[in-house]
Amino acid sequence: MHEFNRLEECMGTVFQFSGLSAIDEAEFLESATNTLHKADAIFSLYKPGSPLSRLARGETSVAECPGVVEQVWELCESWAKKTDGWFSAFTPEHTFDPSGLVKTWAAQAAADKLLEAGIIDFTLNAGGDILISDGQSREDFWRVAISRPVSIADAEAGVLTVLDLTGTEFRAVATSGSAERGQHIWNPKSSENQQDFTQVSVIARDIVEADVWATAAFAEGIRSLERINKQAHLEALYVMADGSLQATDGVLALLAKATR
Amino acid sequence: MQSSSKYTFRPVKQKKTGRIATFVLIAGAIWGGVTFGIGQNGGWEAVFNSGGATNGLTGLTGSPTPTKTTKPSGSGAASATGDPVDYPFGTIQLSVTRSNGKITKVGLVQAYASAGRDQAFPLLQQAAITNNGSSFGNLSGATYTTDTFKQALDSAISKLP
Repeated sequence: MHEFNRLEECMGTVFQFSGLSAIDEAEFLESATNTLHKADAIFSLYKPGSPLSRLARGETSVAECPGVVEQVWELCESWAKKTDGWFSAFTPEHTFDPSGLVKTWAAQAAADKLLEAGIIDFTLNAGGDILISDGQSREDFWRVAISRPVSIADAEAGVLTVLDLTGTEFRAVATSGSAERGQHIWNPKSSENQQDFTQVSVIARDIVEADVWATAAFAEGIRSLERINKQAHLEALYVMADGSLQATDGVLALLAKATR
Repeated sequence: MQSSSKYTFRPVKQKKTGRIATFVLIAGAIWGGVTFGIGQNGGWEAVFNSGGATNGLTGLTGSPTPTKTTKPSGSGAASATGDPVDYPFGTIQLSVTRSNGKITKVGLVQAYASAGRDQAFPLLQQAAITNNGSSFGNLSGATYTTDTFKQALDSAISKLP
């Protein structure tokens, strides 16, 4: 077994694959990062020539786009239902913007490339959203620190608290907040943006589920706490505007124990 | 659970030098008000305040030179590991590796923190703070931009040979 660590810039952020492999992982990391770039090429709204940009401008139809667009469209619709409309891939301007899901959807697809190759001991940090593989052997990688609600480049950056997912069903943590990109999540139900909390971290069994719920919670505001509390296999930790914390019932049990 | 208590761990403001606390991606720079970064002299440096009351005393400074594990060369791999630094609330050690001009690895050699506060907080607040006594290998936060990520690594890179 040897260690591998790969940083890949994509979708305007950085993806980090770190883990252990018994086989030469280079080829599979290549295939994993290609998966990310392929998704970016199709779904980026920052690339004027991408199928999604053309779709947003009304120059093409879903039927004419690569098949994966319809697949993501349907995925977004199913998440919209599950979150009672709080996750929405439709902007206030009525264009299709699945950015709230594409990053982690692509991350999962990239992780699958490693898993299919038999590389099962790794974690993937998708620009701040974490996926832990079932075969993760390093104890410390099961412990996920939650960033304080400030930018990682801020002088005040650091760790808010640490979750220990060892021995739980959870494999993913996604955080949404205004610290890095400002108010980038729209409210699908009104023109007002929630102001009651600055950051939410959602703990789930898979990274897309965590990401979608974090986005939905950010759109809905603190009332989403009750909604998430009612969901099985889902926990959430909120940093309120005044810096205090609120969380679903299961979070206390996930807080890591001191190791020294 | 609604609490009116303010964020108690307000980090120090007076240390505005760009070098402080930029290694966050790997280490998270603060536990319980302790800010870590690379000191001006190249060693690890911790800056902390106590509960926001006193405004930051400068903490210990690590050994001034990083351990160079690889010889410098134009295109080869190079890595630098900061010395472990003990401070009143824990220990931290960080590493960074560069290969062919690209950062290929950022690592948390060890990171522990144990908060030693006993102010009256709501349960969750208190528990969240107390559990900073854990080491961790992953850090989740709002999606950062590539630029922000690079900025956060700048001072680590500056330690490379």
